Amino acid sequence: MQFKFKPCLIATLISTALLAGCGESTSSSKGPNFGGGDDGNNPPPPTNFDEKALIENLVDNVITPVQNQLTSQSAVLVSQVESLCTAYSDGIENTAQLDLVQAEWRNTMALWQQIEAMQLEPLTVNDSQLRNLVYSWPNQVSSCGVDQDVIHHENGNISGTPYDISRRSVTRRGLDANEYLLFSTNLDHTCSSNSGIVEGWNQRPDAERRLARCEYAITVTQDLQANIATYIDAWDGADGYALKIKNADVADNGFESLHDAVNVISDSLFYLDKELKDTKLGAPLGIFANSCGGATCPVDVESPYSHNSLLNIENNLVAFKALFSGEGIDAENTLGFDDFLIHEQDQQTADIMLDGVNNALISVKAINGTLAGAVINDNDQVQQTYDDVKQVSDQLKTNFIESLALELPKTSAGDND
Amino acid sequence: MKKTLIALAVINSVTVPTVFAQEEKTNDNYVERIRILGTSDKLRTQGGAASLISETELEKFEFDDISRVLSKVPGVNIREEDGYGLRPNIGFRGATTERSKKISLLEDGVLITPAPYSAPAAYYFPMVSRMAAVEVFKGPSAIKYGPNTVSGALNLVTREIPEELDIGIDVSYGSDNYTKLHGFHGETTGNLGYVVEGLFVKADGFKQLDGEGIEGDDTGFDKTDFMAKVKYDFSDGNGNHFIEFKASVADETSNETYLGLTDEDFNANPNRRYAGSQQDQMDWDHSTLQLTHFIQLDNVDITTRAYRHDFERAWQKINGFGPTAPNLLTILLDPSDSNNEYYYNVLTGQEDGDIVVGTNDREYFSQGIQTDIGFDLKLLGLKHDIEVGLRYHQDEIQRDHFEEDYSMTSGQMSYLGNKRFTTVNTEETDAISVYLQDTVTIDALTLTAGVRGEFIESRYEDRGEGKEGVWLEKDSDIWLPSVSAFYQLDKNYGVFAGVHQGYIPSSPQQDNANTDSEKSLNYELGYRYADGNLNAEVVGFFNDYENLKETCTFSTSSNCDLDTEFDGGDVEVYGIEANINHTIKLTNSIDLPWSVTYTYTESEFKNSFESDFPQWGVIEAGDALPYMPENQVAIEVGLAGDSWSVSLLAKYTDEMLERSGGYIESEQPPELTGYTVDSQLVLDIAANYQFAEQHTIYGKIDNLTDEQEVVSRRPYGARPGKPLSAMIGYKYRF
Repeated sequence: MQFKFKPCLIATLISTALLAGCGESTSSSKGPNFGGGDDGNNPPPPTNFDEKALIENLVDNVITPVQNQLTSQSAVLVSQVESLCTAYSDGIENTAQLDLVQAEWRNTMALWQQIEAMQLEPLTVNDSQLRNLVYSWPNQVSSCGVDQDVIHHENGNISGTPYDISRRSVTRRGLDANEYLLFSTNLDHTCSSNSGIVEGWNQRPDAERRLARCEYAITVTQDLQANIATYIDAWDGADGYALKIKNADVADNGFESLHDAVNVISDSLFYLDKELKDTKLGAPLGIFANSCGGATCPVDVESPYSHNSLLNIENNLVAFKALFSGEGIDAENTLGFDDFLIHEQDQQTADIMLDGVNNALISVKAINGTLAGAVINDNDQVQQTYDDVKQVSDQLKTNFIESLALELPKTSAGDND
Repeated sequence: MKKTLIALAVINSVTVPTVFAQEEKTNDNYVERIRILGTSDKLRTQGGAASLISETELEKFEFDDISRVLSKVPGVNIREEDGYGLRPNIGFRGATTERSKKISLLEDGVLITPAPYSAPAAYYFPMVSRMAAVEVFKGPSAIKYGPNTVSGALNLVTREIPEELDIGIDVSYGSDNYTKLHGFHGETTGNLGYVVEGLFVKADGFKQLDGEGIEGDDTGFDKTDFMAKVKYDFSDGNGNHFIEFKASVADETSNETYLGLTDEDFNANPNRRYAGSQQDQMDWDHSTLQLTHFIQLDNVDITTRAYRHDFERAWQKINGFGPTAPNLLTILLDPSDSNNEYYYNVLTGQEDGDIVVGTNDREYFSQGIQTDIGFDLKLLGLKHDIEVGLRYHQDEIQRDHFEEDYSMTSGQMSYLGNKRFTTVNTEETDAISVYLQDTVTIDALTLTAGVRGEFIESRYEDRGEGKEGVWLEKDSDIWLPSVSAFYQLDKNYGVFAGVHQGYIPSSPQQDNANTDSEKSLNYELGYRYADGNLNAEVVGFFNDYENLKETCTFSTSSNCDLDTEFDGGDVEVYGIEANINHTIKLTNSIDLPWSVTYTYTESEFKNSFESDFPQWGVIEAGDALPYMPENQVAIEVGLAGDSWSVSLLAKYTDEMLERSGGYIESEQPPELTGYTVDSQLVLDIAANYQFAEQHTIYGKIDNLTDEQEVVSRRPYGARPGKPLSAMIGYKYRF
């Protein structure tokens, strides 16, 4: 830094000051990337693109239909888990029914992973409270906690207070707790100490333990169904967020403008960058911080009990593509961010991003076996998937934002690429 | 009656506020440059509220904690944190207390904050145990001590080189293995004088970590401080021309944390510390080099000081559970919530899980050269006392913050690794400051007019990987005027008034296009009385902020982006400061010194707005500032005999808001909305007995009632003040 203090005499400065009063003068110059490259002061230039139509299509044609499928799918899952438990209570170790339950869990998870990649209110408010009730990854599921709650649930109370799952921690509930209950083959508890509520559990007959877990799985699944219903109601109800965001141009509706609402939806696209690229792929590959000190790390994959990680990633990409391209259930209406980019004279970015997401879908489907195994045995293919996703996220953070005059989500400020 | 040193000291030490004029044995003008206030019993005729705590006053209660030392200074607001005052939070007249960043903090008249312009938070604070005096300036008198002129200046005065042989030894021991070893030695021979001083303080801490026998279960600290001064007098000992060199080194290791407790756990045991904080530790080193030149030429005195301070610190402490988990304060405010329960269990070691531990590693330097000139001149038949100062200053902070993962297993944390840098940046500032102050006396009226100029050039740069082009350079120039007057109504009393411009520069990384610097117009009106036995001062103040500014720090909250600055707009802070002290002669050999200090403060935001600053939230016009008690009272009563003294200090602090406003449910967490820090009364007692000419024993009990209230719930949960703690000590003075 070079300083050029003016060679004025102090006396001159002071006498000038006394005459001039106490004004402050400031000036600054900044690097091209200071403040994310935009100081946030300049309002985005107006666009004549029909942003209202874009929002309506993404809400009605892309997001809401997935939610509706999830509602019915969650009821199917409850029903199948109940059937499994009935078999267990009759003393039958019904592996066919277990397979069916596990398949329905994967179907439920597939829909949820699509919603994961397009999270808006009410999922995101209050530190994502509602979202975490359904699925709290990447916070690790507390398998010991779930083991404890299986017993509390079986007992019907905790220290004399009737068992109530709605008061329990998110790491003992939701799709991830359900995964442990339905997929873990080890019936022993996973707590580090054999004392407290889990004392004696390992010595009980398998059938008893299997049934206790299954009955807790019913409660967890019903709780999941209830939370999904709460979510759908807060989205699709008369005062729901869907209506609110579609009417973002109505005064006092919580949005400064339609463009502001488009920005809220574009924020959700960044799931692809942080969660998908960095955490689901980058951490197991050892590109980002992981539990293995930076080495390749199979234990850091999502859905470790069901080995569903690759399907999760695939569904994230499906949802991203739908949100980006506007391609939902109505084939006649495909107004999406790609059209917005083309309207803003940036066909190139639209093409690169669509190509990238298609390539990523091809790459992830080409990975052999499970993700945990593939980071060791098929590392190149996992790396290829990562590279394809990165191609999209690089565009997302730069040209996409710039061409559409959008702002980066706050959580991307600490980007660690 | 012939009083002993102690008796005289006790009587003379009750000097808050300083209503006295300057009178010193050595060169008055030099003393005025480093210790602005004197201890004469004449009425001080300068405008502007100022307070002095003398060495004997400091020794009376043997406080190591500056916040306890300042309890008798009116207009001071303090937010306690660790109970020991290791990193004090001090504000004057309603200015934010956070890390004392809004006051100008000086040692011997030189800025001592690690980086006063670039990062003014005072993570280094000189040990008050080795100070010879503490001075506080508010109102117009603060204009000489920038850059922060909004609230005032705090000057810590180190031990001067004695003219004759002087040796002191002080050892003490107390609760929680509190240990203090303090010694100094100095003398002047011919033209050469020196003093060396060492201080070591440690304690095991009064908090207890969850679990037994776990690594690092000591929650205490140890601090070491060495200082040496050498002076050569060119004027045959009359102090008119000399150079002085000061060097000091200090370090601290403290197992301190930002983690507090849930209210329920606090009520069960306020001194509990969760297992999740067992890895927390602050470690810092500080050094100072300072060269002073002073010359007195007829009616002109010139003091020039060149200084260099280096400071390195690394504070490792629990940051939370990662980006997708609720933050620590949210967990502790509602641990039974289904979202929080698991994390609370991990935090307390009841369940296994991973914890993110952050280390905020920072390196600072601060250096410069400053000259202060005082002279008299006659103009239009009036005598003008003129003071002029010029300072060239540079400072810098380098942040290399990183996070690592730890595993909590069966209540014991173990290292997992995954070191990743979170904040890697540099802020630096070059600044030129000037001030001119002219004092004219016309009969009973003393008029003082001054102006301060700050010319600041700063640069911020993100040094993180892939952060090329993230930098900001700023120039800021400002002139800050002040005017004050004192009218002496009688030999022993007078009235005074003043107005000055307050200013706090924005940090190098804040773009002024988005965040303004903080400015205010500050008014005061007061009455001062001094007759040598009864001293009193009453001051009304009104601070009219044009733009109150706040910064997000780790100590503020976990719910804002680090180092982001927030504008609070127009805010008014007003109140009354009053102090009276007096000595009653009970018998020929026993005196009863007493004093009362009272501060009343009101504040209100003038505009309604929504802020992401966690201590504000959704503000309605009329809301009060956080952490500002409406009433504060300190009463001290003592008894002093020829060779003994006993003093009782009672300090009452009103309740304080933890957050000014409300919150919008869909946009913000309710973080501490509606929470207050309860009012509290703390009693301290101290006594000493001089059993031989050079030997004194002393003892004290802090927090006599052992009542422990929540002193703050920021940043992560409820934390207590110090419990009852006792200590005894012995002093030798040659």
